[in-house]
Amino acid sequence: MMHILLVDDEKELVATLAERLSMRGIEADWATTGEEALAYAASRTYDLALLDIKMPRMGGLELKKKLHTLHPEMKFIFLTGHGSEEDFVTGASEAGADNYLIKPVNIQTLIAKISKALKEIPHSET
Amino acid sequence: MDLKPDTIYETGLRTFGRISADISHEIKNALAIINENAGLMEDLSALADQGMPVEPQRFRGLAANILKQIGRADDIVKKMNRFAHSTDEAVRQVDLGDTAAFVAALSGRLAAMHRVSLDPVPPDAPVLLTAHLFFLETLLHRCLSFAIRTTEPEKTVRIVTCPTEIGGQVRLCGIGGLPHDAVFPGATEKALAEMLKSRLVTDAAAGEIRLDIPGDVTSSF
Repeated sequence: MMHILLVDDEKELVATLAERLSMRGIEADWATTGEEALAYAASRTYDLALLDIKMPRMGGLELKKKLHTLHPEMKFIFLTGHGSEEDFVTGASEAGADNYLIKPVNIQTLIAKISKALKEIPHSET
Repeated sequence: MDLKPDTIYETGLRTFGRISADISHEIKNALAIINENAGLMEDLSALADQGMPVEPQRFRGLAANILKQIGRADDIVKKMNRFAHSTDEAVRQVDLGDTAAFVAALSGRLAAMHRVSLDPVPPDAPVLLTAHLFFLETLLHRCLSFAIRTTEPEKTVRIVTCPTEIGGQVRLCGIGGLPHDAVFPGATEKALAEMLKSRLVTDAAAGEIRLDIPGDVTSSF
């Protein structure tokens, strides 16, 4: 089973999304701050993290760098409510244009992107 | 000072764009939560169709969440609508305390991102002025944006409105880390203040920005 970490300051969003993903065989933890996400990542390994770009305290881009230091093999998908060209360029440069989603997200689209991102994990490491 | 109307109008347009972008972001978040709650209802319905029992209270809870987010989005759209209509007339009667509180509400997301709280303190009685509402909102938003960015996280900026002999005053109090050199107001804020025939002062020692507005402003344009 794949393990993913959902991070967004909108608690109802990540909590509900985690439940929907679990119904589809994806185990998801969720956090509403970068600090909380780092605490989770310190105690377990995730295959992928879905990160909101704009969050108080620690934004998704800064959080990605810290998570990457902890787990270099972790994959990332970025989420934003802005949808501006500037955000797209920033998010796409960090995660690739295919790994950047704009709210609200269709769950099938999200699962397809998660699957595609995880196929990029080097099999020699497993 | 040369008022440079083009610069002032451009500043107003940028402020309008900035606030609109923040509002669209808030609406997107509400829609995303509605989307997930509705999706979960759909998921649970599909499980029920397959014979898995689902408690009715689960659906009631999800419906309540959706209604809450619709209410949130409606409040946001009302703010957006009020802000859009502030451009309807150039000069009009303005309730200064209400305007300051409204600009604080428009700045809520920026404040949250910087982990700063905003506390509008209304006057005992309405302070009514004749002023250019949109440019007053623009100037207040620029002052508040500077205050939010300057203040340390977890602190509160109080927005105090009171009457004065000449009209009214808005004070942004509790601004931490104000530099003692004159970085604010900048040329744009000074031009806006001059256009509004107002006085804008930064008091670093007191941690305050003060805007004094006359009771009757006649636009320079």
